[in-house]
Amino acid sequence: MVEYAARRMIWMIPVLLAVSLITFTLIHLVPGDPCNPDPGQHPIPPIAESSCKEKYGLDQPLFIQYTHYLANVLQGDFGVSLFDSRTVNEIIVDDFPVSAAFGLGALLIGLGLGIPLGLYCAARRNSTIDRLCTVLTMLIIATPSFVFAILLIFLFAGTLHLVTVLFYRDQWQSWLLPLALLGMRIVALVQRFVRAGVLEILYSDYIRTAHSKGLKQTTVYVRHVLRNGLLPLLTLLGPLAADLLTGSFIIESIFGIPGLGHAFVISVVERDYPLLMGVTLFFALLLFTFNLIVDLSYPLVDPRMAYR
Amino acid sequence: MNKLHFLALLMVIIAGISSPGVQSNTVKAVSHDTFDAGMVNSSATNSSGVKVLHIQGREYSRFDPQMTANNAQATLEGALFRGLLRYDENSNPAPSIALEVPTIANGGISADGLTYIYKLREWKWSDGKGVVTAQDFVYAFQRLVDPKAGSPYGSLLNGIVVNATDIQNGKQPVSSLGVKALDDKTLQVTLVKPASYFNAIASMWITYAVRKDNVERTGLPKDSSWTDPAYGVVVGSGPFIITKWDHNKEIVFERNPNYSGTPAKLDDIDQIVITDSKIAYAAYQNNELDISGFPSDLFSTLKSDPALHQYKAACTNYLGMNNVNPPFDNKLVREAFSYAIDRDTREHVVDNDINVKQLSWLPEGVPGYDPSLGTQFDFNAEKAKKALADAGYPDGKGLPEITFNYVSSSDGQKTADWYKEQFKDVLNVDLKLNPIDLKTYLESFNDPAKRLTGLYEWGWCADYLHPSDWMQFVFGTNQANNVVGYSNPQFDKVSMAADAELDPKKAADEYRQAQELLIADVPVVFLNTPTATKLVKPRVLNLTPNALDGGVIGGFFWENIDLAVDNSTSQAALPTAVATKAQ
Repeated sequence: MVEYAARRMIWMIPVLLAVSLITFTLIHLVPGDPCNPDPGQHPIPPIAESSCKEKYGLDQPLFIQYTHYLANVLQGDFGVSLFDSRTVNEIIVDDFPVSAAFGLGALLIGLGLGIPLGLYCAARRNSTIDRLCTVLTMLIIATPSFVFAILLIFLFAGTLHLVTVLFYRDQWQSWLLPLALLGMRIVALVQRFVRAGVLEILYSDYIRTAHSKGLKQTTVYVRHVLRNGLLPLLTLLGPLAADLLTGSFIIESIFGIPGLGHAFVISVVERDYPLLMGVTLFFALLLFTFNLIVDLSYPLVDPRMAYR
Repeated sequence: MNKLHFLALLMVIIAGISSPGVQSNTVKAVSHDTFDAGMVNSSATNSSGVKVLHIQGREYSRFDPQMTANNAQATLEGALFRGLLRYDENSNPAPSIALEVPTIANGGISADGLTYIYKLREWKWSDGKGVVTAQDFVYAFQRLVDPKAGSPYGSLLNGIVVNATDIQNGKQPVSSLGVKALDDKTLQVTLVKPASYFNAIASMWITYAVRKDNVERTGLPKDSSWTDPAYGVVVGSGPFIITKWDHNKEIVFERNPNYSGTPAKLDDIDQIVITDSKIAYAAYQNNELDISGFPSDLFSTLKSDPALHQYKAACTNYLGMNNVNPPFDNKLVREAFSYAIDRDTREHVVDNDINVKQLSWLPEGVPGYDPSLGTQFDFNAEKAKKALADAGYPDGKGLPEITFNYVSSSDGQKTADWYKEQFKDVLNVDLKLNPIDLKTYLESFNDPAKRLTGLYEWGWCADYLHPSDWMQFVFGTNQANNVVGYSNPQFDKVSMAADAELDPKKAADEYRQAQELLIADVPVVFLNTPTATKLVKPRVLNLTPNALDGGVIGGFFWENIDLAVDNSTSQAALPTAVATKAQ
């Protein structure tokens, strides 16, 4: 396992390199640049634009810019945000914990509620509860989170005054709604995946054998059904965790949560190249790591799979 | 209930709660400045009696007065910094750090109008270390015009202050600028020509004093980080100091104990970053904000609410047309199109009545505003038809194809469709509609080679509150901002004379004359003035809106704003945890 992990880790460098190169190219293919962001309304005199470009190294040929950037990254310096007053490192360090907290919370809620629900619905297929779950989960996944957000805000904050509309870091009540909204979606996703995965194996021979052996229902479900039925979910979990931890732009924008998701999208809009590169690389790193963890866990769940 | 009924019920519920809530994001045609119809603030005092004003706002990149061209940002900077002069309630220059406004009468302006002397009063820096000196102002002016600093207003002093143009073009060093400190308390500004408007420029935020050792500290991640309190104390000289900046979340200003002016009544200003107007509105209703924006489609319902404050911005929007090429080189055709627009209906249908009809050029808030001008070109279908016939195109016959250019968005489309119908109805003219993307649309106004042919909506917003920003500068022959190619030598003569006239009465007369000439020529069709609309809780007192405050209502006089403490509804609504949040 260690050998496998090490082999995979070696791939991290080329993968991140490729991500950085592709992102860099894409950024510079898009018209517009941070030194003249508003040529229509606030044209800057040519000499000001050229000294701005000089300051940020944007007047160099692209290849030089890229290698310069890489050299800095290797020393741990992701550069300075072009619009924010902070360095990219500081932004990630400031914003990631909030997004991660919400992401982790949503993940825990999603798994904690979604797995049992998925299992139950699979076991009691086509019952009223199962049908209800199917409709609700479909609704939740298909409806933009924005709609539920407005509804919940007006209900719990506007009408019942149980929580505040806005997010305040030090007010635990204000964490609840965004967490509920994020978690709701994950519960729906997890429930559907678990249900599908479980249904696939529920009627297979070995499960029937387990039943006929006289094992308790819970034992059958937990030890046998769940372990195999969770495989599809496990595959999903890697990218899902990475995505959640880096923050949902929509939820963050709605509630005013200063997280990484919001910072990322804003950096695209404002052509904040260093921030954009930094967050993309960070996300790639997280994704790579979580995928690795998931791959490492497969053989633990299903011994038929080996490290190769 | 059976499956079908259940599903049907669910559908009904979903349909009921789904709110399309389209936020109208019209490109308000502006040039030179973006009118920020953004946030407003609000909020209660917390339970320990500290007065905190909670405002809805947006995120800014820095609060650097010399690098600011956005009105809302400038208004916030007005809480932190002070300059030579400031605008009074009538939008006229008044003393700030300068002891008095220089005039010919008091000897502050030389007889030839080229030398201004500003004498400074004793004005402390917020950290208590010393007072603002004339050298500090020299530094402020120099960094404004320094091309390397890249200020969006770097060229504002071109052709006005000695050597400004050459400095901006890199031909002269910054130190050659015609702004000198004669001594610690005396600032001298030398101009290249007499300018009736220089004191109005000196009332802008670009002259706010900043201290060199605070701006150019070492150890900052980047040059602009000096206004971020996370990297150290930010030194200004305004009624407040910025003490906390939780990026993309919250900006907090606290009262400056070393303020040399009238102390502010508020203890704190808390600007919370909220980009979604629905959320802001919900927060406002939940007493988490004192001043807030709201979704624009609620405007008609909220119009009668006393909490709604609507005031005009210093902008005028118009329908533009090329004065050089046919058919709009013919004044009668331009008149016809002006008579043909029912502005009241347009405001109602296209803008939900948020903009206010405007028939003259100078908007309210700019000295010289006169609503009685231009009324002769208001909507009149008969006159429209007659003017078009007199121009040689009876009933629209013989007119070349006229294009209407607009930004391709839902609002743009609504506007275009309205014009198409209106001009067809009144003049029997079939407009060709041409939707363009925003970037191309904006670029067309900057690059003479990319000028739009046909009609388009555009406008102008004030940089500073003085008619000179609106006359020769915008409509002078061959001026860079003259996008329509208007040319009237008489107008040029009068407006240039007004720009150089140091007798305020004479200047006002000449500007009035210029405006009348301009309006009579109908170079463009004046349409409306945008407004700032905010909801303000009744506990907020002494708000004085200004046409240049970019929607940060009351910010031109931060020190006046007060909060009534005894409002019981504010505290009852909040969970107790939130009520103590501000402590």
